[in-house]
Amino acid sequence: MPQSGSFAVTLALHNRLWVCAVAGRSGLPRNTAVIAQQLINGLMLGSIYALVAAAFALTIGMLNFLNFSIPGLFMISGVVSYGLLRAGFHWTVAFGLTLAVTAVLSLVIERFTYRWLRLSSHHIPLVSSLGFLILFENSAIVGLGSDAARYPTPFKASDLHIEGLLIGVPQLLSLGVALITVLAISVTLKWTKLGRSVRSIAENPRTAETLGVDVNKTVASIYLMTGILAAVSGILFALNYMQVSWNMGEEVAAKGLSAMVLGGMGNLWGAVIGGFIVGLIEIFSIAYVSSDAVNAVVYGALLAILVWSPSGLLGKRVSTVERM
Amino acid sequence: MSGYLSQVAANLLIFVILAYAAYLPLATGQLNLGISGFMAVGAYASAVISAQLGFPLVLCVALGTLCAMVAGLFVAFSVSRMDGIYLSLATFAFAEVVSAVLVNVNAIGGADGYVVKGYISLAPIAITACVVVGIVAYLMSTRIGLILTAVRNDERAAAIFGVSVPGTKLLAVVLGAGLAGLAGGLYGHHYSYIEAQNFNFFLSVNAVLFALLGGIQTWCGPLLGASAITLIPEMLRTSGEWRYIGLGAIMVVLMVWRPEGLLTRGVLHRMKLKVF
Repeated sequence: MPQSGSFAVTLALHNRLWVCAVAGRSGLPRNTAVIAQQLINGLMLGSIYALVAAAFALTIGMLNFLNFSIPGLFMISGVVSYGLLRAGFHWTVAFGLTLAVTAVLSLVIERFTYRWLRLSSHHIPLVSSLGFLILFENSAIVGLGSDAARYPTPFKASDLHIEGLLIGVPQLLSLGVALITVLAISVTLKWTKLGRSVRSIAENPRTAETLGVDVNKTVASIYLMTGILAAVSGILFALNYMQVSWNMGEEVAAKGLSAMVLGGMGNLWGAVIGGFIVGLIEIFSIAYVSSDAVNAVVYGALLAILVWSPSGLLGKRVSTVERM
Repeated sequence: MSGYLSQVAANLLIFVILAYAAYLPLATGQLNLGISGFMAVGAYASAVISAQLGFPLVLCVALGTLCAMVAGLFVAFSVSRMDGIYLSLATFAFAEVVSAVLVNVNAIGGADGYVVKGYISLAPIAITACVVVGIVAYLMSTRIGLILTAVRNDERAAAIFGVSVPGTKLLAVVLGAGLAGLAGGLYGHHYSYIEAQNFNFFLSVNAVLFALLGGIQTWCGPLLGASAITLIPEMLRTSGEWRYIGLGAIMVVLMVWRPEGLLTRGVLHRMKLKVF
């Protein structure tokens, strides 16, 4: 995985300079304005991590499967929407088509990592999903080239300036969309028939099948939800940072994975909270420590949580091995 | 031997050792996703010891291997109470921490990398790789090999027969980490230059692939996997992206078609090779 949070660093530096410039004539004291701006940036970055973490949490919580194709889907959605916007489609059409492409891809991934692998040992699906990641990333290099491409902004420049703070429309949008998407999925899981089937599979797939749950269909829907979470976060990421590249998913996925563990393995809302925490940690350590320290802090925290408190913030139970 | 050929040979030999580093945990059904982290520990420890203390190279590489084993013990022991997926996550996190720390510590070069003193040529690497393959092959033919396989096939049944399952898993991860450290030490002293970016997640994934695509039922699988994945693209002289697109597609298809890898016990039996 890449060594520095290059996107976040650029953005943080940009906003920091901007804040320093405007803070002088704003209503807020300079220091407060800087901190408030960092808070906004942290929440915005956090909402993207939260979506990715939620995608990981879904497959781990429901299928006990660490799905490494998520960064691939994240990147594909950014690149496909880039291509469609470049081709001149309206953003509604472009984003709709992107979601459709990602949905189809997640169904293909489902066939190769679950349906046709049900009898194999547990690490085989993980390796297949890594295969998809390699496949997607290198297809993107062939299609896009190995340099980052500038993402067109479909919205008019309409940043909000409140009390000297800069709040971009994509930033607000990503926060809102992230929360609504996760809310929709958690409502689906809790209240609908599909949600009940999904939760029964999480308990025990064999029993669920005996009791009449269509396992194939339900698992496919879990993959669809995962794909949509990844696709939405990919588009939001591209909108916020205004660039796409073949490896844009790796760093975000590693941070999302940390966020998921921090929130509690497999817990959807825990993943969201973890995402925001990781986003804030990242932005504040870039602003006040150094941009090189970010990865050491975030992954150090991940390792520490795994070692000392593997159930995370909201995790209820840890699947421990049987005492023998 | 031309420069190009010796380059390919050195890569191949180091990848073979890495394949066995991934193979040992896999032989007990555990997935180590942080091979590159242990390799980095071995490479940097060996390089620093050689530069600071001036020990003989054999001792430096051995101490590097030891450091990687200690790191492996730390990671594996701390998650030994938990499900298999936690080991994958913890090793992954460990590798990320190692590379983040290496980038930040300026005493060992930081992001600029580290120039390694003491050169190890191709022949000693070849001998080491052969010894590693020999030791693993011998190990798998002894009681230890049987125990590893038993734990992979059915933990509960193995426990009933008196096998210490946590201990066996720990042993497999620690030995695997040691092999990764050994590969790291050899890599550093052969190429005379190491940087944190070399030890990335993709390297760990590759190591796991060597073992899984080759097959983890017998000790010859990783050897075949590492050789095939390293040599076939070299022979075809394909360009980078298409090579990896092919690799990704092959991974996905092969996991469905032959989830136990290419070289299984059944294949060897049909070929009437009595190698294990």
